Amino acid sequence: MGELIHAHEAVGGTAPGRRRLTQQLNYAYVALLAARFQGFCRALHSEVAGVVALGAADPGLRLVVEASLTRGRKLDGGTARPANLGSDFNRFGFEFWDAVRARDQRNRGRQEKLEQLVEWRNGIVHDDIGQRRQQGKLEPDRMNRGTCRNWHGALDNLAVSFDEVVADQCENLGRPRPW
Amino acid sequence: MAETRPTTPLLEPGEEVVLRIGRNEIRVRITEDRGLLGPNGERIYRVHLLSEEDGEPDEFEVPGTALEPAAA
Repeated sequence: MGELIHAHEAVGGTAPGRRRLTQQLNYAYVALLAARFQGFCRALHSEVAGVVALGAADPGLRLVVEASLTRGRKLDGGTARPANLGSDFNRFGFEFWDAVRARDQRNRGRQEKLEQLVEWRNGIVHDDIGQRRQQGKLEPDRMNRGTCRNWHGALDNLAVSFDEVVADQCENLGRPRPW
Repeated sequence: MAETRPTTPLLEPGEEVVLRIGRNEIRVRITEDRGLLGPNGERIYRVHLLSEEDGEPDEFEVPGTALEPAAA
């Protein structure tokens, strides 16, 4: 991510084509940011599934629990959009987004930024930004490096809250706090 | 006492292995090495249920300690 920011800064001047080049860097930034966040969420889900499953005394039962918690997970094939995260993390016996929003009142806005980022990411990787813009799906309808950095900050903060709420839930389920 | 990381043989994506659950043996294929994400750094694998090959993909995660190489 840092290298993309440096690349953005290195593309200086006012020559024709600069805006197009920096926009391509912004698109790369968004795609990478969404991928990294999805990877983080998926790894977090796997870790928590293992911790929860270990609560089963019988080794066979542990496998059944772990397999059930990770079977058909949305994060394995879909993006880390809020609906997919809720669907997967609710399996641990709580309302994931309610817990995230309760942890920090700013998380509601960060959740909205995650939705915006994923919509932009989909427009970039499916090459249909224009169509999505016409349909009013892109918010904001134009983005720049500042938008990317704003989304990045929101995701960093969400990641911290995700860590905290799932650790709380492990405790609620009678498991040791994993971190 | 320091915790020790369970030692399990490294399995490769694409490899067919046996998953033991209780007295049952289920043949699965490794689809992904998820890394050391399990409790105490246990290696976790994503596996595909071979009996469901013709239907909807059925995949889930299990610790490497539950997997054994399949007999040829």
